[in-house]
Amino acid sequence: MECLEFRRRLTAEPGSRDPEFLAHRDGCHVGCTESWWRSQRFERQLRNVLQSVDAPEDLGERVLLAQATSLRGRARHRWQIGLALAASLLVALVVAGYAWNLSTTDGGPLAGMAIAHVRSEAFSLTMTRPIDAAQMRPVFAKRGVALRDVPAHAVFAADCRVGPYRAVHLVLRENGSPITVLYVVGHRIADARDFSRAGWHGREVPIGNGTLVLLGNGSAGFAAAERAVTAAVVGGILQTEQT
Amino acid sequence: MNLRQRQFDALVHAHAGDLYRFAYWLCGDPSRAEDLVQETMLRAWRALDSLQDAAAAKPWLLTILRREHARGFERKVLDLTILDDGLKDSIPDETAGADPEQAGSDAELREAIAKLEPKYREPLLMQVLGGFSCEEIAAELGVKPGAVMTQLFRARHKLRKSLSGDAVGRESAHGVS
Repeated sequence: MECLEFRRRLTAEPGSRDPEFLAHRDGCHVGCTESWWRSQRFERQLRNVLQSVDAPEDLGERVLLAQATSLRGRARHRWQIGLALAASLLVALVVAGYAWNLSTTDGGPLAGMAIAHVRSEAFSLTMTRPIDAAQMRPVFAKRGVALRDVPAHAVFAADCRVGPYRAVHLVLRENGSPITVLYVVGHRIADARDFSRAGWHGREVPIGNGTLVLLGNGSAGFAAAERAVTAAVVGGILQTEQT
Repeated sequence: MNLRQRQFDALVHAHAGDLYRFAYWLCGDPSRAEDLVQETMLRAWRALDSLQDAAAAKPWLLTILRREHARGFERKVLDLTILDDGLKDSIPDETAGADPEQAGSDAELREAIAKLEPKYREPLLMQVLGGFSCEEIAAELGVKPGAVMTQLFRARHKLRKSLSGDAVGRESAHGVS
């Protein structure tokens, strides 16, 4: 290493431990050694001046305080986000539940009683042989109804009790799938409504002074069954019922 | 207190002072310097898992601080001339009670440091206070090592020139430029 390079290096990097640099320092006889010593004195002074700035006494404590505060703030923020998410989820569940309830109402007490009755007379769903008017009219007559017409595709007809109510129990079978129609006498619901409960699809329809309850695996044949039974019953309902 | 928090506490107590001095000479404003230390430490807390070697803690922290300052520099580039002027005015007088000749020399040197342009002052601070090598400074500043050598050379040359009667300054000026 030459003196020029040594002094350039000395000014840029006075603390260099490069062996070549140190060898020149120790071997040069034209003033480089003295330059190195002067440089070291200057570096010491420079370092002292730069380090003479005192940091605030409690700087470390303030840093830790800021960190702890930041951590708590983040934790609080996370907690608030969690709370907001939980609240949103709850609202979503309530709305979804309400919507589900609207779409899949389980009907009123009458629906439950109708399903219970059909289950207790499940054999009626297995009937396939059509019954004629002569078999059906007496059943309706017992419930005070003189039929104007006989519903088509009827395979079962019986006078029954659905809960506390007197009823006519019909099973209509068209296209293979049975539809149970219960004409409940003396108990009229306010409005027609569809329902789903326990695997059953149903419809309740006010008619005369009573209610028609239709039950099936699906609601596909309900409209036709409702029309047929309504046409047969309306106008034929008697003022007094027979027991 | 968990290990992570203990590590952070130790980091703060060991290096807050050095960080403050580095920040102070970078920006020349005691309040801003303290803010820089706070911001640096909060960033360090978030990235603490990336610090694997205790010996690397100081340069790691100084690097964070320098970048934090650089971000502020970008935001407030127009204010920097004011900051540099402020640096000269806010230099602490640490010479009370010292040898008058030495005190005068230190004061001159402080003023000279404050007058240095940031492009000279920053690598000098990184080298003297941070212990970075030329290669490390070059990597951090995104320039070639040769350019850093030149900046450091010029920084010291300016400082030495400012010291009245400094033989080395004259020597450097005549011998190498």
